[in-house]
Amino acid sequence: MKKLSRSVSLPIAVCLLFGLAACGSNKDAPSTSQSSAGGTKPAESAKLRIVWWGSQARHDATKMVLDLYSKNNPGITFEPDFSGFDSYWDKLATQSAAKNAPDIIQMDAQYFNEYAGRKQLADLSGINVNDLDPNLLSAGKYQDKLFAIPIGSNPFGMVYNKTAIEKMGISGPGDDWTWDDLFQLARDIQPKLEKGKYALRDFTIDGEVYEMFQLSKGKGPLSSSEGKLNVDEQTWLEWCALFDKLREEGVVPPAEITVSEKKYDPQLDLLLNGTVLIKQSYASDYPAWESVQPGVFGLAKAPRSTQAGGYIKPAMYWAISAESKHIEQSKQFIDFFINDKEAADILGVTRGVPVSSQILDYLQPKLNDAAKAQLGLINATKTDANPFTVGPKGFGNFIVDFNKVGAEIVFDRITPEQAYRDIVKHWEADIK
Amino acid sequence: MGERVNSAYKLTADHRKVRDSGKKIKSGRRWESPLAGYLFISPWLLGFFLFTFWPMIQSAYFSFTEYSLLEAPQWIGLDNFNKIINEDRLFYKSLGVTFWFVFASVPLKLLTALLVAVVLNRKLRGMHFYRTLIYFPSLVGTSVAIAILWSNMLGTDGFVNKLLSYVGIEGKSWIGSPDTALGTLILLAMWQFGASMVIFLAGLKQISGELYEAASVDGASKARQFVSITIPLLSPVILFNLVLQTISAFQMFTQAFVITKGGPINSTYMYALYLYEKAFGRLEMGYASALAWVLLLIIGAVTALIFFSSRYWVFYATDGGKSK
Repeated sequence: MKKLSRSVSLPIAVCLLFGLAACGSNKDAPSTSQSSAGGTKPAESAKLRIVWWGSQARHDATKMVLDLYSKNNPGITFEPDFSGFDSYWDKLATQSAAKNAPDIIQMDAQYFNEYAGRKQLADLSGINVNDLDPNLLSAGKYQDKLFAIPIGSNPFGMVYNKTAIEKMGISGPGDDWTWDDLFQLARDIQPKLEKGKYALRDFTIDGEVYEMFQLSKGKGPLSSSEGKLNVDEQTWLEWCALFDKLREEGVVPPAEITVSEKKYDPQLDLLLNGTVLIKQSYASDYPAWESVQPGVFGLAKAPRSTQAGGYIKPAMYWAISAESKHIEQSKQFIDFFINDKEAADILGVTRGVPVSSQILDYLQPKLNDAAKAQLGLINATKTDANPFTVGPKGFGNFIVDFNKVGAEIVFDRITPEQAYRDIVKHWEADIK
Repeated sequence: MGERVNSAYKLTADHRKVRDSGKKIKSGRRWESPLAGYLFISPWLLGFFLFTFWPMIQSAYFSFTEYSLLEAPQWIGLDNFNKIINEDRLFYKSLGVTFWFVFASVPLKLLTALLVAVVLNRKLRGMHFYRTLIYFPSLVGTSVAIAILWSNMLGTDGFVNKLLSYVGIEGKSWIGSPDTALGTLILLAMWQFGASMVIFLAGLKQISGELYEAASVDGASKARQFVSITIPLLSPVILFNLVLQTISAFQMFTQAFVITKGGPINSTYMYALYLYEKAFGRLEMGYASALAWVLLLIIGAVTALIFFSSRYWVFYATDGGKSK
């Protein structure tokens, strides 16, 4: 029964969910068939399934790199599959359940522990990572074993509407600004704005921004390195009080505007539609702002308090499915992807700033303005960055719940004290 | 579904009557064996067993397991159900939201459908055109694209508020406020009345014109005719629509998923959305399967309640005018 259920029914359930078309696609995968291709080693020929999420620019660049690799390595072909971020994980989970996961998988920090912890990923030792920052590389390790290779470094900071702020005769943030500077800047801007526009986003609903605040107070990240809850109650209450005041003063938008934001949507993203002038941003978000309104926005380092608040996390990783029949070939491709100059020329910063210091030195003179802005944020953050901690299994869900609790405060349904108790409860339920 | 079965049954019955009446029908023998019939419906049967029945068995099994999709399921007995009933706040929250949605949207939708059907039941030039036009939104109604369109129209700077501003009303973000978000989704559901409307229209056409003529002769007003003739004679159709719409409203997903994501602060967190997030967002397929079975039981109970109540308000003309 058990055997039958795993092998037969699940694929069927999966087909049911995603349409029949999704199935038959991997039937032609089974390895090593053609040994022709001009006498190259037959063991190396394979058709690799590779998946990633991202924007059109990333899709185009990646496909070109795949073509390049196939040209250099006869016998290796690819079956790429790419999408946006949200549906990506639903599909990957279902494919993995059906033991039908792609060979090469683009992975995210939020999901990394989930997959590595459940033995879905292959050991990646052997890939040349000599030029990678060890701090960044450690974010690809699970229980000291390397299961994912970071492929872009991604500092967290702020994005602001440079053009609008400069037009008011107010100077934008510098690299050494504090949280007080940020709130003062917002209060200076607000009187000069028309009705319905606000200086700052309401960060009460953004656990990740609160984490920067807590880091800057020297209280560490939201989860300790041992995987325990580390939300400091006093710091949290202080944070809520700060934004409560800003809300009252009308420097941040009212609740219903804050919660109906849709990130990156030209009409519904509060930064892009001009409703707020300052909000949080990863460096890798920058092309999304820049592509809608070129030259308008600037990136700023995370504000500091008693210490720096910023950190650098991997923008994303490459990982290999533990079920893959082509682990060696997949490893060779990843090696090529992060270390090859020709590939770097094509990829640019479509996956954040390249992780290999060699490649970065090589690319630097060729970068455009958007890429330079990202690089600037990395260099500013790098000097005193906090170490990045991958949260424990279930941490991604915890952040979702954390932000929902924040929304209840913004709508004035619960007190910050009650919110703290709810946060503790969510941690206990979410972290496994 | 029920109707289809009924009419199929009636067909065979008629057929038998013809055969038994003594006339020899040569072709009758060809259909004697039930095998041929099953063969003809085998594509459907295959689809049903493979893609509906078997997954249902599977999900029944998963509902007694802890199953992360990535690892093999672990048998945990009734733990999932226990947790749902005793600990899960979100279960009750989402169930409450869903009940609100069902109880508000289904009557509203059926009322709209009935009124539109009555209007469209007249003999007018070009009526076919109007019918098509009015049915049209139902063809695209549940699609994701339309849901995205709505979410843009109902935002703070959306089209709806622009319209309101012309008449001097300052709009708000209808889907951004927990007080109005669910109401907005209920009104949006009303827009997809087309399927029920078509069935009502067919039902209206069945009602004999003589009854209305007789009533007019006796001096009954139009309103009186509607209440005393149309509603009773249409009541089996109302029952049918009520059951169908209630079942589908319990499973409401697309709009809640696309327009509000269940927010703000869970005010539109539909049961189906919760189930989906448990299964694929949080990889708790066992728990989600249990949730699905609980929903099945709830829908079953509500449907049974409707059928039970029907004996008091549904009127079958074929029973010689007596309510069943």
